[in-house]
Amino acid sequence: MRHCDDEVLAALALGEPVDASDAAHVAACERCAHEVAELRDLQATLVDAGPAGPLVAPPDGVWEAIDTQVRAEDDAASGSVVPLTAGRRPRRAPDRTFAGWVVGAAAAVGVAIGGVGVALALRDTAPEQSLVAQAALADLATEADAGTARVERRDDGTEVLVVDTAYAPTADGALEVWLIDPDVVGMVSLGFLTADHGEFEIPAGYDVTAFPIVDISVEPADGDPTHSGDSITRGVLEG
Amino acid sequence: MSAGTAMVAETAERDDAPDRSLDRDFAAGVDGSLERLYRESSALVYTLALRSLGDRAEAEDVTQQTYVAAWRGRARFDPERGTARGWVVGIAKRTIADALESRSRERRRLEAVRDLPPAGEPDPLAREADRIMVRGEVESLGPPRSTIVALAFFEGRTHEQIATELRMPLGTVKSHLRRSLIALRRGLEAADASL
Repeated sequence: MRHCDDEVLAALALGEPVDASDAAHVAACERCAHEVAELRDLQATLVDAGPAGPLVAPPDGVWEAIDTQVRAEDDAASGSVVPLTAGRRPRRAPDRTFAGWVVGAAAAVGVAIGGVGVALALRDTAPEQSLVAQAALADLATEADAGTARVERRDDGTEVLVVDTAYAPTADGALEVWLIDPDVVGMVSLGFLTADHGEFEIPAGYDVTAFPIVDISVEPADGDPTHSGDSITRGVLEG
Repeated sequence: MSAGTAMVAETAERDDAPDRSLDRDFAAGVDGSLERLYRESSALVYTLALRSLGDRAEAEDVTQQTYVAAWRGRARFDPERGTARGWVVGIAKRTIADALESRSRERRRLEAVRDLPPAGEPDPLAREADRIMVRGEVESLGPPRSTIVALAFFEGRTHEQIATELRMPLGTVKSHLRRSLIALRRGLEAADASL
């Protein structure tokens, strides 16, 4: 059966005259009659929306603030955000420890982010201004305590990740320090750990509430700048 | 709604296929696509936030957070499944809900301290948000259709009054209304699907 086209159905819904053959079709056709009823309901919805008033445009400054924030993040991220899910380098399937940790981290981060928010709120009034967040680090293979990571704010406003862990060089590669988002998708490399104590400046635009996972990975000297998938130590930053 | 603009008579015959180039560009992270999306949808997002939160500064914050989050998360936006506008409105609704939730958390904390009576707050996101969504769909029709639909349904004018006011043939007004209804039905369906 050939149905009426949309314009005819809309005309009927608006109470306009249509060809007798179209009117007869709609009277007999459940589908077309249903469409007309829907378009009538839509008119009632429109009338009901009238009192909501016209939309209000945001003030000019809002776009500038968005643009500034997005540009800062994009600049900081260029070349260093590594979406593991992009599958650019399936060098090694994430092992069970990694996968299990990810599930645990996703659950823990919900709590941790709240903690950071509290810490940030308190920081404005507390005399101790420098500590932004901290994390207990754990060895992913053994779940044993593996030191601490702290985010400190310097007087000039830059934030620094301070890692204290038992540094153990490995023949498999260098140890690289990352901040990772709760989805374990976005991440930023902060540099290489070469001693028990390491300080890494967090690039401008990276907020530890958005990238709360501290991760240390083993990176072979293969010239590939992306994460190897071989994480050995992790912790979640919280207040 | 200024409706005094004289319209070219036969603009009803333009192409009705929706332009999806913004959706594709946004998904691909094309330079400038965030600004285009903002220009097209920020009044809807800001109005939703303003009416829900009742505070300009908070509404501005929510608007900023919404577009920054949309840009950060653009890899998760699939243009096959909906429009960028629908996607950003979905993010806005969640951001508004978060702002309301943290506000009620704060109030509960204060109440615990000061023993204040609970301030009964009806769900501000329900019907009013639906109405604002409808207004947003109408505005996205663009002139002259957004003007004609506003006059016909929001202001309750007759088709003859609209034709006189816009200096447009009556048949053109009716044609615009028919096409607008069809476009609005598709648009609101898509908006529902993407939330």
